[in-house]
Amino acid sequence: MSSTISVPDPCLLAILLVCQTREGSGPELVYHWPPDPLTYSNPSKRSDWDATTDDYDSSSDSEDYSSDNDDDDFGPVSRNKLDVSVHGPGSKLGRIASTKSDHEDSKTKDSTLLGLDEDGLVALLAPDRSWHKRKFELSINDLTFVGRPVFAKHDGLWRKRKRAKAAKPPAETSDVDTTTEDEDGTQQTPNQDQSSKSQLMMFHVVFVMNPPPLDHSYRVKEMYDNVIKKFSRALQWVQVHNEYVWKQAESLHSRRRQLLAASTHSRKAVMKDLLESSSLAKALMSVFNAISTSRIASVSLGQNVSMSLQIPPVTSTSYLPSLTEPPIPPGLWLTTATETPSSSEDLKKQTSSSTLELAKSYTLLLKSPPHRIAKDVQVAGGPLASHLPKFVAALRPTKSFFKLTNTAQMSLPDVQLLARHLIYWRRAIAIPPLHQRDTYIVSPNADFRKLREACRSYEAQFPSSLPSLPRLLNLLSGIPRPFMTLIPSHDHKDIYMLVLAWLMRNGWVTQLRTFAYVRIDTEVKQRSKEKEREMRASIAQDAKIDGANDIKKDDASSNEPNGTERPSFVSRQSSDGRQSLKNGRMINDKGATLIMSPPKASPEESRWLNYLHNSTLRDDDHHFSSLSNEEREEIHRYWPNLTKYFDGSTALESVPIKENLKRKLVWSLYGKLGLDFDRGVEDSKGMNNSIIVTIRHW
Amino acid sequence: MSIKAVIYSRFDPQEGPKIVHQVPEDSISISGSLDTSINLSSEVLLSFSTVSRFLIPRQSLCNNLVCLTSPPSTPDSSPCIVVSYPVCIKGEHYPRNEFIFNFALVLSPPDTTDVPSYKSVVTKLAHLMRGLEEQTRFLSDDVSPPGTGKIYSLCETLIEDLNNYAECMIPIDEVNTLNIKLFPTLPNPAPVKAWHVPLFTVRIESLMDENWDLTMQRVIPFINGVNSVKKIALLADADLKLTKSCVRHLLYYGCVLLLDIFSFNAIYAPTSEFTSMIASDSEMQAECARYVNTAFEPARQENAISTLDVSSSLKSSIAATTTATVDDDFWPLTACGDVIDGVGVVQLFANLRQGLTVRDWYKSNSNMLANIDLRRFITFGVIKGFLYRVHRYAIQTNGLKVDSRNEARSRSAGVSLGKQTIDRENKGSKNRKTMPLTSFLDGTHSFDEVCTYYGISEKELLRRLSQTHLGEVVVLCR
Repeated sequence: MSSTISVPDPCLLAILLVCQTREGSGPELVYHWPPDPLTYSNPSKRSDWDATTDDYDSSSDSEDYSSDNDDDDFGPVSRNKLDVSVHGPGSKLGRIASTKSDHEDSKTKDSTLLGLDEDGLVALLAPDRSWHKRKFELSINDLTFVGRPVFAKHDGLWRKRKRAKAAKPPAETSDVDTTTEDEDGTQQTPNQDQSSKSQLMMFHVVFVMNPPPLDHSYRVKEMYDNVIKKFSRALQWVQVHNEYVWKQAESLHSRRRQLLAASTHSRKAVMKDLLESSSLAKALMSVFNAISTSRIASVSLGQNVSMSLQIPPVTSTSYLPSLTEPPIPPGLWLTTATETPSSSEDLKKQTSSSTLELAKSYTLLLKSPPHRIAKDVQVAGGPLASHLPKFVAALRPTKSFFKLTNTAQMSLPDVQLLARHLIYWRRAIAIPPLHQRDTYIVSPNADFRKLREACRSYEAQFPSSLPSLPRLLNLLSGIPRPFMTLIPSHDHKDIYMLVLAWLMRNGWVTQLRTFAYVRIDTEVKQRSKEKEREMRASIAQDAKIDGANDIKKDDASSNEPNGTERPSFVSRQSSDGRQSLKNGRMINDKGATLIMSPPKASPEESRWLNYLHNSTLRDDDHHFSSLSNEEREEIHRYWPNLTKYFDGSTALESVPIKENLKRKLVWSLYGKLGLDFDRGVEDSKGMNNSIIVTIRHW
Repeated sequence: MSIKAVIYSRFDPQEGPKIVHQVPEDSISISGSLDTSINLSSEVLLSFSTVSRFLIPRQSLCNNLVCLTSPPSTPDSSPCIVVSYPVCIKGEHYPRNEFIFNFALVLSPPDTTDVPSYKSVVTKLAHLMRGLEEQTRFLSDDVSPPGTGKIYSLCETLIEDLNNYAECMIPIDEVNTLNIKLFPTLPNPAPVKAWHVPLFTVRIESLMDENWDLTMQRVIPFINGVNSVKKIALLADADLKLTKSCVRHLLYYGCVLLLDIFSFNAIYAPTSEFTSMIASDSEMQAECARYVNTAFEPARQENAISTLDVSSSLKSSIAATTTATVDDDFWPLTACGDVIDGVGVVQLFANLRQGLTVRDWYKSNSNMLANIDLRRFITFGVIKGFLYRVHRYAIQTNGLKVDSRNEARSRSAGVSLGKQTIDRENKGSKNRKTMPLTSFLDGTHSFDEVCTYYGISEKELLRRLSQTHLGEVVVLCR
């Protein structure tokens, strides 16, 4: 399920503006776009699974399948057809095709809209006050109408009489949902036209969607949270402050009546004409045009209020679906390196220091050339416009934010803010810094269908002395090697790193990251048990001598290395320790154990880890017997720094930056602990006794 | 318990829209603004005044399926969904010449309810009631007070049976019965290709009977997790296209999984699910050990492997605990006679990587793999989803060059032409023209696909690819 959802699919068919006035003439459809919603060909490609008929020997395969099942109530649901079979004999929707053409160019008197009776529909789209500022959702057959109606207050006013602090217009650019928008839209400027008892009682921007049944609630929620709510709030703001919606509605209404009276215009022409005369109509159109094609809409409501809206796309996934599951969009970045926040929710959140810590080992990969972004930023204006160009110019995909803060003299919070802005508005993605010692593979999700096209742009961008794109991908297809093995000489390094950034940006490659667990073999278990027994015995002896048996015994158990350091972990064990408990019962005694999370280790696991840590200094231990004393001391020293990352979900590649250690040192330590990509599970002596088990994936 | 209430409402010529029956009673507050005195008890789902215009809409909007997400009746309650199908019947014998009624279901919120499956229930109910009304004035003649009568008890039975048994069979009169069954909404099945390998997740023999589709009956014996769809079609002497749709049907109902063609030349590597699955799940390690241990060969059960669905994994976990307590002998032995424990299994999986064929992986781990069925070992990982197959693709580089844009166009035209002719011949006779190898060399056709198409081995394919007239051919893996 989650993977179908990674495909952007706004399912948007139309936007309607319904207003209700005080005069009692009933609700009215003031404007809608597009003029003829059901015939409007949506340029966004339906990512319909069945549509991919790349099957050479039976291209009509899938069509056959769904048509075979038309009568079958529970057969696969073909999603694009407005399936007629479900509707009753009198169904309007079943007759769309015919009614549509009849009404297409006729005058708009008792017309149909979306295959439904317009007046009846509009009556339903003006619900009562219980929906005020709430999500309104109505489905008629396959169409879903989603909106957030806004009502005037009971006294007919749009703003409170009370004085409040002077309101600012909503943020000019992008970050619309900033604090300037108050919850109720009840902020006010004190003096201007107190008299205004607006004629407008309610307005309701309705988004018409046709999401597939299985994704219904997800798609509707996505649209509501990202677009409908924000747009409706902005309109509420301008209505409260400038009577904007009412003025626009009134002018649209009268202009429309005028045009219809002239009776020379088709509905389409009327809609187009209105578009010229009203900024609200234009706003609705641009919201529709952009959102229905998964782009960013930038709209202006009146003279000084502008905003941007979008449904943020999924930029990466860690999940590679099986053949049976719905595919993810080809070319989508496949990675687990998504520790940095990139969703809109995170954008709102106050950045806590911990996320900053986490994200400083990341950097940004820009999706378009820096100068173009800088130019666009200048054009768009906004509060961040002055800082962004400098930031964008300083960015390097090979430099972490941490390094950037040093070179560009910017504070980490500033960098984070700007980075998030760029990520949210689709200008960049957050990646672990590219490094020639890291390993990159051809992404399992690379879109080979675009290969020809990509070759062309690759050749245009890079000198022909480099290997061709297919050759390069071929080099990355073998047994994974650090990227530097591809680079012929030191002079080529820069251009190869540029190529790597290009490959990443276009989803051709992904970083192969390494993860590790600590492996505790039976010998360690036995010895640590023995040692503990000795320790207990000696403590018990001491206790006897002291004659304070009971109290000391408690002390003894908490004196275990783990107990004193992290008392909280003991209590946490019950929630996450199911696995370790099970291990303890079933397999522990006979076989080895992997410690899934050293920082959350159970008491028993901590004893083992502790034993291992100490045994780095002992001569008799078989794990380290091949190492020199200095090497063992080194392992002993860095053991606490490293083991906490051996949890199978932290990439070993990120540890040097996180711990601020030299990469070379850290990797040589990994090697001494048993990391070796080239051999089998057992070493040359047929022994299986490495301390860490490593696994590599994206 | 997804259905919270059933409402039968109609348009009354004197009173306007009104609720005739509701089950359970008092789930909808009827009186509009007057009821300030009545405290909103928790059972009240919504107020009729809010939803009446949606339940009894204008005549022009009747005969459509109308679903409304109603606002919560109290701030802390969750919103509910009203699925309804207003019906309007015209007739001179009715006051105002029409009769409007609506049977609506009130459902709990969509994140806990499969709303689409109830839509067909409401539609069916509406059609049946319309028929009954037209035949016998079943609805308009019913004058029983709220909470009594035939229609009320029908609603009562409906809500109880659907909530408890997900189906109902309610006799209405001598000739009419209301038969309803809830079907879950399932996604469209994945496309099935000739080179996919289906594997049963259920015991199909126990489900199949002689009424099943004939092709299906022919095809099923050859589905074993080893044969590709094309091979199945050949073995069963069935049309490839029909075989595919059989497999797709089985896929839709979750009876099969799709795998890739296993060979020792194939490459497999771990996915990001590795940590959350085999590495942390000792039961899965044991399950794997039992599945792959060749010592069990004679007595092994083909369905010992469980898929990800709850019931079977539950079963397997029970099995795991019982066998674990009875004996631990399922762990395979190495060639030297040592036991491979769960961590050993994990290490073997972790040792698979990009660029390494199963053959090479076996070579470097031959001691440990001595008593392990390699195919089962690999497919276990693929089925669970913590391994993926790295496919090879051949690319003819001169076909991709910039200067050969025209050539490319003509080439692609040629391909599509080829497709057409094949389609035509497909329809006409079985004797089809094979496509030239070059049409597979654009990077979108995996080796599996090409080998299946020509019925050749990978070795043979590589030999053909090295033929000079193809120019430079580059092999990519992903």
